[in-house]
Amino acid sequence: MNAIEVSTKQDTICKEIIINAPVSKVWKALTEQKQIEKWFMAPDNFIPEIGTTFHMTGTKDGESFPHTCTILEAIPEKKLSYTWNMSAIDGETIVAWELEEQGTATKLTLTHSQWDKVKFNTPSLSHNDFINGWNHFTNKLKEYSETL
Amino acid sequence: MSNRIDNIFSALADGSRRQILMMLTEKEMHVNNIAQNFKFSRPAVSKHLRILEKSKLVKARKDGRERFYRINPEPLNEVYKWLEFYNKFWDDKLNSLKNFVENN
Repeated sequence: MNAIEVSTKQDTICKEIIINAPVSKVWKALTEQKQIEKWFMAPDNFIPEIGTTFHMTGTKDGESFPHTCTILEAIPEKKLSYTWNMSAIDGETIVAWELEEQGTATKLTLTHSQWDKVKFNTPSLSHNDFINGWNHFTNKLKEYSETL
Repeated sequence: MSNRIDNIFSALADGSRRQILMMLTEKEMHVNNIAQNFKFSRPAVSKHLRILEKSKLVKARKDGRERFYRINPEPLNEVYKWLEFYNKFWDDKLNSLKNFVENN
């Protein structure tokens, strides 16, 4: 696995990766519609300008995950951030991409934050679901804390 | 009903509260039973229970003057499910981006 978990807060997913390419190339992959769809999802109207909105739909196990996003920041070759609204969940999270030149490579940091703003409407689950979920969660918590 | 994820995280950050939760997965309990089982003072247990109740990980039921506590698993599962999903999602996408940029 190339991506490293660097989260220090439990309401944030934060990862970084070193890409062996200049920041200009990484920025294009993040902001040009035709490139975005090659590695990410296909946005309907991606313009890296503050306030513009786009939609992207991901799939997992045959299930669709539509997202609605609005650009918050677009600082060329430095930072791109947008809101990240997930249709399945009530609440808005934020996705930010930060680029840093490292010689001929680029350090890219992804932060998916504001999970504390998310609200859940849930079906009821069984006792076993709870135990499994909880065990898994505490293991994750341990992993997180050990990487700090 | 909605639940705020930060309450859940702070509720689970404490080892004593995780112990209390584990005990409550067995059966509904009164605050005194919990205090006896874990050798905490009653006020300490009450404080932990208030935090757990706020996170909606436990629910209280009043019977006369007594309050009984039981586990409420829903908030945790939902948080866990979505964080897990996106944790994996971002690993996949970052690797996909790296491959795309480095091979074009």
